[in-house]
Formats: sequence, structure tokens, C-alpha cells
Amino acid sequence: MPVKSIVIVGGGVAAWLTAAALVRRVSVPIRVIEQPGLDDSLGLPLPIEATLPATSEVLAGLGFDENAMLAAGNGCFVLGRALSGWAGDGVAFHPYGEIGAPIGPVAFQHLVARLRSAGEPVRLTNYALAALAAQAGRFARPSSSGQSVLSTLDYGVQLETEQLRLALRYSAMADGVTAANGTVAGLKMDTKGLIEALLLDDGTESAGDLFLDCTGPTASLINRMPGAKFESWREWLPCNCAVMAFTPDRNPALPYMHIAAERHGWRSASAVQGRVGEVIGYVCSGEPEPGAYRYLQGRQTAPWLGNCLAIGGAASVLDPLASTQLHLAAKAIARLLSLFPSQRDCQAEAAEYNRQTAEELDNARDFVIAHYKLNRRQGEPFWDQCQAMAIQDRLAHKIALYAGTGRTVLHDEESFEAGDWIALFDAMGVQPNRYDAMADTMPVAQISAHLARVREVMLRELGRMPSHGEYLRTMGATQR
Amino acid sequence: MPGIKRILIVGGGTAGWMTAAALAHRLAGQPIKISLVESAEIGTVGVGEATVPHIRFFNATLGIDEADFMARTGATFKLGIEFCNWGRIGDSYIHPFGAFGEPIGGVEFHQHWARLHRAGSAIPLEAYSLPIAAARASRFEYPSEDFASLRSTYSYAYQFDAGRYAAFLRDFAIQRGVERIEGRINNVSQHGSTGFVTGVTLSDDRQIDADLFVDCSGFRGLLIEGALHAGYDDWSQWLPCDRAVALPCSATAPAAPYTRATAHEAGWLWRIPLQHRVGNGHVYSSGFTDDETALAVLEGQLESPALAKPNFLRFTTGKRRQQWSKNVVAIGLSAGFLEPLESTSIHLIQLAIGRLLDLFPDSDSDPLLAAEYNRLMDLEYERVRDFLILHYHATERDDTPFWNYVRTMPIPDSLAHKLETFRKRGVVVNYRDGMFLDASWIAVYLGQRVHPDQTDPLGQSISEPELTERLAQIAAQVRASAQAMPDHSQFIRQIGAHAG
Repeated sequence: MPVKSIVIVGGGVAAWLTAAALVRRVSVPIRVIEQPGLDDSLGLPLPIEATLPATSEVLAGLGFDENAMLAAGNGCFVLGRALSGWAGDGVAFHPYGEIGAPIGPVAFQHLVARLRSAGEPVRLTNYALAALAAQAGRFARPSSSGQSVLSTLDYGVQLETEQLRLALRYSAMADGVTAANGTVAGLKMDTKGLIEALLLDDGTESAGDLFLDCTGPTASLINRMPGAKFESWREWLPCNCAVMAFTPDRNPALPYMHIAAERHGWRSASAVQGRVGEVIGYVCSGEPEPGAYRYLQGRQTAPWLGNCLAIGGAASVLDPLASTQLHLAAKAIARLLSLFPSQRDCQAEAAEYNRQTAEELDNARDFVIAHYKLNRRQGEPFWDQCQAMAIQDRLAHKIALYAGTGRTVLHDEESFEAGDWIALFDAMGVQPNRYDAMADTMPVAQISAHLARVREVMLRELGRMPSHGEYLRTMGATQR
Repeated sequence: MPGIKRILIVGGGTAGWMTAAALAHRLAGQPIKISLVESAEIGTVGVGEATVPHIRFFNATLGIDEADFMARTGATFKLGIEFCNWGRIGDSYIHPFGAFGEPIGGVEFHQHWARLHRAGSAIPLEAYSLPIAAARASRFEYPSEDFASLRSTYSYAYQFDAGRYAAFLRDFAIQRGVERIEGRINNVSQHGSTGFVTGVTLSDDRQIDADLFVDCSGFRGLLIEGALHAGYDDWSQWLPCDRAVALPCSATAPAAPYTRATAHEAGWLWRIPLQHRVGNGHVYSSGFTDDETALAVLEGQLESPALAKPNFLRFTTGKRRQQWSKNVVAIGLSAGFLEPLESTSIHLIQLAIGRLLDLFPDSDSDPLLAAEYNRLMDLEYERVRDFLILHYHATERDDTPFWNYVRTMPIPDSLAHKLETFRKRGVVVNYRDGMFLDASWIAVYLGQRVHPDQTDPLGQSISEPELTERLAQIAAQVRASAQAMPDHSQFIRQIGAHAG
């Protein structure tokens, strides 16, 4: 039976992102069933959603214009993450884009390791343009010319979630997506175990051929499918409660986010124009405090079952320490389009979709787990347990290879590339015991001079970059 | 931990000298002595005379001048491989170094083609590939760097005399300080507690010690298996060919810029045109034919009298379980054997050398580095393996017991998933690590009649007449571009790459 209509359930930002993207490419009718309630469609109901550098290409491929999204979402740019409280005093930075520059075949982290072993303290992120710009509150989009040091910088955007949802909803409906209110009460299945229609609580039915579950962690469609299974990550990611605040702020928006480890969990702060969002995540064993959001981290073992596909928080829930929520949803939509089924019965597409997605989600999960596992806080039961916890071989090998040799491991479907892992390891105080032997062939003075030159070129470029606020003003993205 | 001071490469041949040349280049200026021990008494296996485009990066990194290298190795350009009689007897398709057509409306080209094919109105896929059009017309021209140009849609490799290439790299390596030791290894000594290889003893009692050993000793894996017992994964249930016989002959026509692999009753025949001769061989399964018959088949296909005696080889397809164990890294045939159907042997050597340099150890040869090296190489070998199995399994041939076996045999789950995904919906499963990209899989799937049951529904937004029109334009551009290219042999002379 061919796919002649699509039903999206949720009504949150995940549903409308999906609808707005699909309607541009798919010629069959799309209907969104909007469920009332909090918008946790991407996982945690964050007031601000940020993208990763890799997200911009995905969103562009889905037909979204970055400037328009920035304007609609009171958005601003994000050049990386300031990390504090995870390992010792001070603030470390995870910059987007490249860190330093190699000498011939010898990668930058090996040069740094060599200098450090010679007794020279080196701050890795002093050599990342994104880090320098974030610190100085400056911003410019990267250059496409490999000649320019500005090509080494990368960025994401921070958007006000509710404004983004409204803009996507408007755009999708203008393009012909229809919407109705309702809550799913059950599924009407055909004899092959595929959904024929949704049974809504008002007694009506909503029929379709492909059903997209954008209902967030309740996963009210996929969880009703035969064979659905949720794989919990609780043993590695114990935080299960979050409180959020979203408040006006007169200061210029910072072009980075701040992720702090605290006694019982984490705290994140990020900005859009005119407002800041704060989220605190922690472990809650009893009743959560009023207004707190309760969550369980993990993923659907198979996010695409039969003719039902879970996108966003319905597919996975992960601590938002590394801006993965919007990224993973956008990737899911792009992947759906690349494997778009022509028939209601679409096992081949689902199998490949699930293979790629499992790989992607596990890699993202490992990046977040590494924050906990590698923490160096002392004398606090929560963090001590995290240090001591057993992790899977996959992540253990990644950590051990870097700690032992300065090399990074990358799998298929990584959301974070080598530079991200290196920045994270370095921020956590993991310094490789060894490094590329080739770095030993270079005199320390040559490496020092190379680093000094890299920094000089970057500082010169930094001087030419406008302030973050000025950049937003000149591109006409300021509203408030 | 002290660094490596001495490296011993065991075995000459293509793997040994490629490794020696690359190490000598990269480690120049370091206090590391590199030696290679080889014996003139032990023959080398020319592991393949056809290459894939990555070889150009290997040569370029070493600063090798293309024309000089081509002249010295009798090289010709290569734009792809022609496969004859694989899907059915009488079929022919080329697996090109380049893409077919271009995406239309955000939907991949092959999806559009498959749609027309389902409707019965497609012309052959190869009409949309410039490297195929050039190969069929025996023409060649360097690809363009202008991404807007159709001429940027392909790449190229070489067909060369592997023996001459090894000799060329031997000169290169020796000039850069690699010590060549002539001798036969009689004994391998190992450290009593760690089991690390410490040195080898030659038949004249000379003792050569080193910190790191690269085992390029061929099938037998003198160090990796002989001393370290790294184990071997036998893949012959999927790739049952276990013999080959090679027989060069002289060229009777100007060399074509492509290799040919012709399926036969119990294996396949290769034909590789070089400047000065044509390399021929027959890869076959001893379970389905015998040496005598195999040789007769090969001789029957020669276009001119043989230039040498037949060279028989025996092998077991598979992979060394640990290609890097302790302080020994196996590169080349000692690391595994995959038949040269897709010209992967030299590429796998090159990849191994690159990974070894990326993960270059200290003298204690950290097992972490070996674990990462083995993880990456395992993926690479398994993915090449799957690609090779596809050629045998995706067939309609039922004319001999050999083809009945490979057509009906159980295949690895990883390949079954790839095949199913393409068959159902025309989607190519791809990965971060793995040398064959989408275009290669598409060429073989469609070339061997694996047509998708359904195509990308998003492609339906273009009407069929519109699509037909667009495809006709692409085919016309391909034809015109190919016709504008110079003749292949002429081009070789023109750039001064003629062997004289």
C-alpha cells in the first residue's frame, strides 16, 4: 500500500520541524495532531535550543534558512561551550571548529603534548579562534577560503524554542500542512501489524500510511507498537530531574553556553537575544519538587517500527550538556527523507534507518557520558560514583586510546568530530601519556614558534571581527 | 618510553618496498634505522597490477613524478574495470572511477535511472558516466578541478608492472637511507616474557635486531603467524577461489585505459593492459576445477603467445585475526588475502602503511595502538570482502556447479543487509571507513541486475517526460566530453610517460 498521507503526532517543536521540512519535499498530505501540554518533543523542554556546527548543513539541506531561523527565534550564535566545575578550578572551553594547526603530518594535539612534556604549560583553546572570539564576545561567520584563518572557526545557533515552534508551525501551515487537536488513546492496527489509524480521545480516528511520533519522552505512538523497547541509559546517566528558568536579560547575548558541574548534577546557561535560559539537572530519588521536569535517559532500541517512526524525544532522551536535542531531530528528519518509504510496509528502509540511528545515538550518548566518567571532583558521592562506574568497551577504548596515545577514535555517524573529543578530554584534564613520536623530531623551539604564529594570526583576525551584537544587528536579526 | 630506533621490514615485493619507501620518507631526519631483508631466492607475488585512484596520493606524498613513474613501470591509465559475464553470460558493465549522472531535485541520479528502468524506458546506465564513455573509446584526459565541469566527475588510477613498481620504490627507499639486506631468515627470536620479536637470524648466521617489525613476508606470515600465531579468519566459504595462474603476453593493440575481469566456469580471468605487455590471469576454485583445465582456459583467452611460463599461486581468502600483534605489523599478503577482482591489494597495503604511521608506536608497542589499528583494518577488510562477495552472489548464472554454489550460498549478515536495502529501495549502505563509495556499489548492483523494487518516492515530483529529457541532456554531454578527449596511448606519449 503506497504512502499517500502522513500523520505527525505531537504539536511541539519536533513535530513542526518535521512537518515544515517534509512538506517541502513530499507531495502527500501531512496532518499534525497537536497534543496539549508542555513542549518536551525534543527531549527536555528547554527554553533555548542550540544547534551544533554539523546541524547547519543538515538544516540547510532540509530547506531552512539560517538567517530566517535566527530572526524568528530571537536567535544568536554559539561558538562553543565553557565548561566549569568538571575537573579542577577554572573554566575550560570546548570550541567549535578547529584547534590549532598541524605541522606537516603531526596533528596539533601531539605538538601540544610534546611542549607540555618539555615543561611548557599550554592552554589548548588559546589556539582556537572560536574560543578566542567567544571570550571576546565577537563573532563572524567562517570564511569558505581555506587560506583564511576564519575558515577554522565553526558555530551553531541558539534559538528560543517556543518562537521557533511558532515560526515552523506558521511556515508548515502556509505550505499546506493541516493541524487538529487531539490526544492519542490507542492505535488501530491492520492485519500486518501496521497502523491504520490513530484512535483519538474524542472518539475520532485519524487515518494515514506513515505515522511520525513527535510526542517526546512519553512516546505515545512508538510505545504502543508491538516490539517497542526502551533501552535505559540510567546506569551511566543518572540525572532524572530538571528545573528550568527563562528570564529577560539586558546584557548582550553571549556567543557561547556555559555548562557547569555542581554537587548534585549540572547547570547550563545559554542566551538568545534579550533573554537567558538556565537549566539545572540532578538526581531525584523521591517526589520531584513542584515545577521540576522528570526524565529518564535512553533510547528506543528501534525508533522505526512498522510504519511508525519516532523523532526527537520520542526516540531518545539525553542530558542536554552538548546541544544534541535539535541536532538529532534534524538528523532524523534528513535520514527519513533519504530513506523515504513508498509503501506503508517499509522494513528495508526501517532496518537501515535504525542501524544508522543506533550508531548515532550511542556515539552522542558516549560523548555525554564522558563528562561524568572523567570528572575530577572530589569527595562527593554522586561524582565519585560517576568516576567509578563501569562503562562500555566502546567508550572505554576511546578514552584509553586518547589517554595513552593522544589519538582519537571515530565511528560511523558521529555528531562530534576529533576536535570535539580532544577539547572535551583536555577540559577534563586528560592529557595523553604519549604522543606521536614524529613530534619528537622537532625542536621544542620550532613547535613553540609555530604555536606563537598560530596565535598571532588568530588574534589579528579576532581584531577584525565585529562584536556578536554588532554582527546580529548588521544582519538584521535583532528584534527585541 | 624510548622511541623506536630500528625497524626491520621482512620481505621485499610490493608490500615491503612500499612500506620501506613510505617509512623512509616520513621518518626522514629521525634517528631510526630502517632495514629490509629480502632474498633473491624467494619469489615475490605481484599482488596486482591494477590499482585504485588512492595510489596517486601515495605517490604524490612521496614526491614521485608521474611521467617518470609511468615510464619506469610501463604504466597505463585506468578509468575502471570492465566486468564481463557476471550477472549473466553476455553481460558487460564497467565499474568506473566516478559517479553516474548527477542528483536531480535532491534525489540521487540512480534513483531516477531506476525509475525509468522500471518503466522500461531507460538506456544503459553507462551512458551517464564520463569515465566509462572515455574507457570504451580508449580515450583519456586528466580530470578537471573545476567542480562545475563534467570533467571533474571522475578520477583515475594506473595499471602497472608491480615488479617494476617494487624496484622503483626500492631505489627510492635505498636513496633515502633504507638498508637492503640480502638473506634468508632461518630463525626468529622472541623476548622470554613479553613474547616480543627481538630479532631474526639469517641462514649465514647474521643476527638482525629491531624494535618494530613489519611482516611483508607474504602468505606464510613468517613473524605474525610463524612466531606470534596471530590466527587467520578463513573466508573461503564466501570467496571459494583459492588458486590463480598468471601468464603475460605481448600487446596486439594500443592499451585500453581499463582492466577487464571476465567471469568463467569456476572463477574469473583478468586482463590488464600495460604499455609493454598485457597481464593475464585466471583466478579459480580448486573445488570446482583443476590446475590443468584452468591453465588451458587461460591460454585459450590469450590474444598473443605467452611471454613467460605460467605462474601458479595458491591462497586462502581471509584475514589475519590480528594484523598488528605485539611489535609486529603485518602488511600485504601476510595480513590477509582478498582476490584482485577490484584491485584492492595495493590499496590495502597503502592503507595499512598510513594507519601504521598515524598510530606509530614507541618501542614498547602499546597494545592500545594495536587494538585501534586492528579495529580499523578489520572494518576495511570486511567491507572489501562484502563488496567482492557481491560480485559472485548477485548473479543469475546457473551454468556450472561453481555459480550454483556462490549464487545460493549464505552470505554475511552485513552484506545481506546491504543487498536487501538496495534491492527493496535502491539505497546504498555506506560508512565512514570503507574504500568503496556509493558509486561503486551502484555500478555493481545495477551492472549485475540487482534492480530496486521501489525507487525514491521523492523523485516522483519530476514527471517522466521531464526526466527523460534531462537524462538525454546528460548523456549528450557525456558523449561530447568523451569525444573531445585525446586517445589514451597518444596521451601517454604526450606527457612523456612512454616507456620508450
